[in-house]
Amino acid sequence: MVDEVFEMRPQGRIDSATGPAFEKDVLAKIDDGQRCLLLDFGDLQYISSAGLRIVLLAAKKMKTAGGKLALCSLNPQIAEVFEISGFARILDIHPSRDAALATLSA
Amino acid sequence: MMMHADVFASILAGLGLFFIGIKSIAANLGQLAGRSLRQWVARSTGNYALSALIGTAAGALTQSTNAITVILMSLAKADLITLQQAAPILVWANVGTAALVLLVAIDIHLFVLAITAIAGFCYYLNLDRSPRWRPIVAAIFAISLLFLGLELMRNGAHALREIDWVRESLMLAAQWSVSAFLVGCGLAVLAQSSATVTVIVIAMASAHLLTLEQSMMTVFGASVGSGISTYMVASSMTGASRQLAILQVMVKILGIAALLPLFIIERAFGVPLLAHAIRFVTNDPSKQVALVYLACQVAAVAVQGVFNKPLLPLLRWLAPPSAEEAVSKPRYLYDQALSEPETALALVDREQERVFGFLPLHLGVADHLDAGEARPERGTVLSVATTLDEIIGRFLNDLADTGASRDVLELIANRQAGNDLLQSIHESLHGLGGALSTPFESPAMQSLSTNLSEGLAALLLAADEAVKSGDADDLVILRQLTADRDSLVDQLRRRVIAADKMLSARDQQTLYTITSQFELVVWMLRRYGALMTVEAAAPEEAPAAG
Repeated sequence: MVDEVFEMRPQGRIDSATGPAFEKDVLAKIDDGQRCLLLDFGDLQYISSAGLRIVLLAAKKMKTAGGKLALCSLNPQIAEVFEISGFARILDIHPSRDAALATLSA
Repeated sequence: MMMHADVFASILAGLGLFFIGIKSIAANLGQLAGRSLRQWVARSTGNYALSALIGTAAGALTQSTNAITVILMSLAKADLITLQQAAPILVWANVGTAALVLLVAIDIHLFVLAITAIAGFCYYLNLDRSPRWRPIVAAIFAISLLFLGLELMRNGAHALREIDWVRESLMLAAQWSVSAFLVGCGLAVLAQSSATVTVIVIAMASAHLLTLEQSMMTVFGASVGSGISTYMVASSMTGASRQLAILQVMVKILGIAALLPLFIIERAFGVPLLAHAIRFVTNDPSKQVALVYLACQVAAVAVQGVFNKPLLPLLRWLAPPSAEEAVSKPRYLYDQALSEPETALALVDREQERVFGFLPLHLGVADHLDAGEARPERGTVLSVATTLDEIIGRFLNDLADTGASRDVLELIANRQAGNDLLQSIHESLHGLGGALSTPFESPAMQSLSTNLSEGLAALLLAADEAVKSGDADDLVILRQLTADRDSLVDQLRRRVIAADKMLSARDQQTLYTITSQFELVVWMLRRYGALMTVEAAAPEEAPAAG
C-alpha cells in the first residue's frame, strides 16, 4: 500500500520568527501518523539556519518513523544554502513537484 | 661636531640594542616560564611567603610585570585564582624586576663578553634550531644584546660629560626636581617600563651626569609613569583584569607617595633619611640608583600589605566582574573530580560540549541555547572559548599526572586532540564570522556571504546536536554533512565571478579567503566528528577483537 502524500507549501520566509510555527506544523503531521511528506518550497524566498535545522529534524524524525520526506522547487538561493550546509547530500531534494511526487509515490 | 655626533649615535645605538634585548628576553623567557608559572601560581593559594617568592622569581625571570599581569588575568578570568591571591604575586613581581637593574649597576664587562661568546657558540652549533633549546639560546642572545647596548650607552654617556652645553644644561636642570620627575614619568609612559628608564638613569649617573637627588626624582617619576601606562592599557579591560591593572597602578603611585615625603623632608630640613641611607650603603652612583629603584618596589609591596583590606573591596567596586568573565568560568570541572578518572572525563565531555555549543555564536546564531543560559557576546566568543580551552587543557594534564591507566591516558589524549581542534575551529570561525558580517557592495558577493553564513550555521547546529547526543546515527549524519567541499567551493567561486564581471580585486581576494576558510572549518568539523566516532565505536569493537 502506498501512503498518501501530504504536501506543505510554506511561503515567504522561514527564520527565527516564523520557524517555531513551521516546526510545530511539520512535526505534528509526523506525530499524527503522516508517513509521506512533501515540502514544496516553490513560494519560499528565504530560509535561515533555524529553518534548515527544522527540516533536518523533520527528516530524522520521519526516517525513525519509517516514512519519507522530500523537498522540491527550491529557488537557486535556497538550493545554494542547502548545498553549503551539506543538507543537500542527505535530503531527498527534487527540482519539481512532479519529480518529487513520482519518487514519493513509488 | 663629529665627536658630538658619535656620542649621540653611540647612546642611541646602545638604547636600540637594549630595547631589542629587553623585548626578546620577555618573549623567550616568558614563553618558557608561562606554563610553569601558571602551575606555581595555581598552587600558591593562600601562602603569602610562597606567593611573594613566586612573584619575585617571575618578575626577575620575565623582566615584565605586564607578562605576569596577563598570566594572572587569565587565571583570574578562569576562576583559578582570586584577586586576594593574585595581589601579592603581582606586587612582588615588581621587586623581581629589580634583579636586572641591580645587575646593570654592577660592572660586569667580562660577563657581557662571556655571555656574548656563549650566545655566538650556541648559534654556531645550531642550537637555535632545536625546538627545546631555541627559547633559551634566544634569551641568552637577547641578554648579551641588552648588556652590549648598555656598554655602548655607558661609553656614550661618559663622553657626553665632556660636551660643555650638555653639562651646563644638566646642571641647570638639576636645580629643578620637578622637571626630573616629569622627565622620568614621561619616559616611562613611552617605554611602558620604569626598569628601562632606571637603566638609562644608571648609565647617566655612572657618568656623573645626574646627581643622586636628580636620579631619585627621575626614578620616582618613572615609577608613577609606568603606573600611568598600565592604567592606559587597563582602560579597555573589565572585571578581574581591570582590578589587577588598577591594583598595579595604585601600589606604584601610593609607594611613591610614601617615599616622596621622605625625599622632601630630607632635602628641605637636612634630616638624614632615604638619600642618606643609600649613600651609607654605597658610594657608587650606579648602585645608588639601583637601590632607589629597589626602594620604590619595596614601598609598593609595603603599601599593598598595609592597605590590603580597604584596597580589595575598592578594586571590586571600581571594576566589578564582567559578563564575559562569568561565562568564561568552567561549569562542570572541579579539582576533586580528578580522583575519579571516569567522572573527570565525563565532566570534560560536558565542558567541551558547552564550548562546542558556542561555535554558531560566531555567525550570530544563538537559537540552540536555552534562553536562561549564559552566553558570550558575539565579539567575545573567541576570548571565552580560549580561556575555557586552556582550563580544559590544564584539567586534562592534571588528570594525566594522577597516574592514570593506559586506557585512560588514551581517552585523555583523544580529548586533548579534540580540545586543540575545537580551539582551531573557534579561531577560524572568528575570522570567517567577522568577514561574513561585513556588508559587500557586490550583490553576488552579498548573496554568497548570506548563504555561507546561514548554511554554515545550519551545519554547526547539526554538529552541535551530534556532539551533545553522541548518538551513532547523528555522528554518521555529521560525517555525511561534512564530506569534502572542494568541488562545491569551486562552483561557488565561479558563480560569483560569472554573476559579477566587474568584481574588484579586493572582493576577489575576499571571495577566495572566505570560501577557503569555510572549507577549512568543514574539514575540521569532520575531524572532530571522527574523533568522537572512534571513541563511540571503541566499546563495540573491543569484544569483536577478542
